[in-house]
Amino acid sequence: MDFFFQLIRMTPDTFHNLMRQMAEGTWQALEIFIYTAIFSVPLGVLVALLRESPLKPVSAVTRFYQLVMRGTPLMLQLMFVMYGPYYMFGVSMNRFNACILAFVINYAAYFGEIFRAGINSIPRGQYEAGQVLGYTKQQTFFHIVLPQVMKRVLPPTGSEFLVLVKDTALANVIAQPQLFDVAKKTSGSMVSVVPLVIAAAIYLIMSAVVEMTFHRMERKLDYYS
Amino acid sequence: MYLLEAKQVHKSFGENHVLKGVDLSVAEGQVVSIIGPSGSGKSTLLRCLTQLETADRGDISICGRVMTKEENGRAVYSDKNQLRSIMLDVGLVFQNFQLFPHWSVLRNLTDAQVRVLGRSREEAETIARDLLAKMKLSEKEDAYPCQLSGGQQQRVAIARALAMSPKILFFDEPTSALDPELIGEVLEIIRDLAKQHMTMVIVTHEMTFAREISDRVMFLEKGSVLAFDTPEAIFADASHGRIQAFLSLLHK
Ligand SMILES: Nc1ncnc2c1ncn2[C@@H]1O[C@H](COP(=O)(O)OP(=O)(O)OP(=O)(O)O)[C@@H](O)[C@H]1O
Ligand SMILES: [Mg+2]
Repeated sequence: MDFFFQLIRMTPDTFHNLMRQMAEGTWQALEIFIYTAIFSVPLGVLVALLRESPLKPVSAVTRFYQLVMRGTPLMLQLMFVMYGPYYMFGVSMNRFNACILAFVINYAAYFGEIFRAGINSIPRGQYEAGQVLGYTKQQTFFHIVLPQVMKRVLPPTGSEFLVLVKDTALANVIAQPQLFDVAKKTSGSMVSVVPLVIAAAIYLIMSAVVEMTFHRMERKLDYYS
Repeated sequence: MYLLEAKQVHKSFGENHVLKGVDLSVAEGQVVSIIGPSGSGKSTLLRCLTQLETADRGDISICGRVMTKEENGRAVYSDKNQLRSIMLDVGLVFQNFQLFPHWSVLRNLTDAQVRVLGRSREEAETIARDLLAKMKLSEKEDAYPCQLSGGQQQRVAIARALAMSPKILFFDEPTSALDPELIGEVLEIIRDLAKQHMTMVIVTHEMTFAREISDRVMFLEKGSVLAFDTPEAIFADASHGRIQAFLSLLHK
């Protein structure tokens, strides 16, 4: 053990103190991840449906929103949501809420595109089969189409969630504390690479958990093709 | 009594006038086959009769219920409830089966019975198992559609339609997507249904079959009914020059 602390050139106390901060940063990153995931997925379904709306203006506005969200840096969007309201109207938003809002509207745009592709990949005949059996439009969508869409969108959704794990670090631009912030500050103050290595390991573990979760879900739906 | 009465049905897709005033009456227990060249509007007619397309003009009644009535040169459809009860009186079997891939064979047959007709799960399963036995697919109730051959999938699709107790059953080329050696098993099922006097309208390219099971055969060309007659008259009578040409082309 002594050898370990010599290797990282820290006393046990500094190391424990560092790990405590890392743990807090991890939790804060997880909070961003979880809130974004919870809100952006259902919102993504809504975006997909609005995009497919037969009303041209609705679909056009949705497409423009998606273009803006996917065509500008998330970092810039974070700044805009955090400071925009203050610069323009003198009102400011709670930092954490602003952070979540920016992440959610950004990720909903991407999920919207993934779900739209998924919904469009279901043959029209499936809707028609539902219709002639007497299912209502809603029943057809929720019981027949959506379960098949879920299977198809699982892999790209999993990729998006992996990106989100790492994107939580972008919250740094609005000074929202989280793992990357802790790593940056502590490595600077300690003049050590150790905090960076630890943070990298934690991001990797979180990514691995996401990857394994999606892998398991995909296997669960393997029973049909 | 006519279970299906369609008069002067018109349908256009943009500039393409696909159905040009089609009449079709089907009596209870009758089997009617629709034949004709590709693109003549057979599928479109079936889709208008099953509400998958809306007709532009014409009258359509099914089981004595008015689906659409022509007023001032355009088809006026009945209210939602009426259309829905008509929908429940008809069944449709698709060329490419359209089974629900995420459900087992049994669930494919029971879900709509429970969710749409409000039958109890036990009742639905009894009906489903009974039909699967008739289709000689009893051992497949837990299989998923992707694990079945095309012929088996089509038989499940027929059972799924029958499970809803339709009064009239439509088929759109039920064997066209099948390998030749699988066609027979599906035709045999339809033949059995005809023997039980199920009212059916069948679009098919299987001429021998059409001739054998139909009470009436309709020959559709370019959206018009060229002939609607007994199979003997259609297939034997040389007076239908166009039909003979079509049939001899098929035999080549
Ligand atoms: N949804 C649609 N939109 C535009 N045109 C269509 C549509 N459905 C069918 N058509 C056109 O209507 C015409 C008749 O098509 P239909 O599918 O009814 O023919 P069919 O007799 O069933 O032919 P086949 O034997 O090849 O199945 C074709 O010219 C086709 O291109
Ligand atoms: Mg067709």
